[in-house]
Amino acid sequence: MLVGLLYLFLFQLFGHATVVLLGLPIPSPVMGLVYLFGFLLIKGHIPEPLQQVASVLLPLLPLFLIPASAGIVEHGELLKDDALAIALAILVSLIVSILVTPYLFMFFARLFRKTL
Amino acid sequence: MNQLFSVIIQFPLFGVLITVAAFYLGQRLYLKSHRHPVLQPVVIGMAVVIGTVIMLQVPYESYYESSYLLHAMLGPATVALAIPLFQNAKRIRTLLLPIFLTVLVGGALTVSMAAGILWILGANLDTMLSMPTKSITTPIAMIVTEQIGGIPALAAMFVLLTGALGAMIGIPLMNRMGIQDQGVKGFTMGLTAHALGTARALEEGEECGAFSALAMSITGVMTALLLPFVVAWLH
Repeated sequence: MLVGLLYLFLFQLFGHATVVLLGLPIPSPVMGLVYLFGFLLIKGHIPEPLQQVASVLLPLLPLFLIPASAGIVEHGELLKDDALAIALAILVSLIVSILVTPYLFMFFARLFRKTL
Repeated sequence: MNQLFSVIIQFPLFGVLITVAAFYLGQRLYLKSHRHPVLQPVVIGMAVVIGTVIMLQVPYESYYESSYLLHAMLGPATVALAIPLFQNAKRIRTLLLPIFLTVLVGGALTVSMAAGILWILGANLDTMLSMPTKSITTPIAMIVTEQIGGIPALAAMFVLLTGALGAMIGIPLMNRMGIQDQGVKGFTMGLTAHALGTARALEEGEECGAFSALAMSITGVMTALLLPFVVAWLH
């Protein structure tokens, strides 16, 4: 578990160093995710400590989201102002993507002659 | 009494305490409701936290500071998302190129459509900057929104709305369209409705769930890698 945590902190640090030093607009945890993914690809399997830390940390992810999500209390005005636009944007773009994505996927799969 | 009250709200871990309690409550209610998509533990937890903070008249800023410990774990937990991504990528390796292209085109489509609708209806800039991450998994959505200058809390709400709605209408809609392939169905659920869509896809079966989880991770990562550049370019 501890070693697993160290892995995660270190990969996040690598991500952080990369985006800061190169001046990239990418969030450092996401860069860390990409590095860890690359590391796993090279390794070919998931080391035991990472397996452990993931099984503890990932189910708690929603908990870590609450402090920032609760910030919605400060934006009541904005939500009221834009309520209709928000509802329409979410609804329409969702329905259109559900209508389009299956065909898009089947098209690209056929293009590369992969059978589904 | 007044003194006890101020001691409680000035307790350095006050925010952590009420957040963990609220999340625990949320989990219990979620399981009791047989995992109803709208009653996600994070939604209940958030509502309880907001209710408590308002009732005790604690400013959001001080709640946030005293719950920062939990917020800080969002980073490492996001890095850990590479693990399920690796597990899913391994099993569907042969389809990676079509998957990649579909996420790129499909993702761009949904983002530009949502942005277009907001723009036509004259929404605020803050709203527009918080919308593009609506169909990706919440942790990535929030950190990307912070990066591009939107409001993470708003983004989290749009993500939840999209996910709950997608989980509800996705499968019935595709059944009507005559889509039969479980992989295609799952993939669409993951791309459009992230974790909530994936939970629904899992009910259809293992293959549907695996495709959904993969589509969700790839959509999240690609959005995080590309969107900040697009926004910077538009500025």
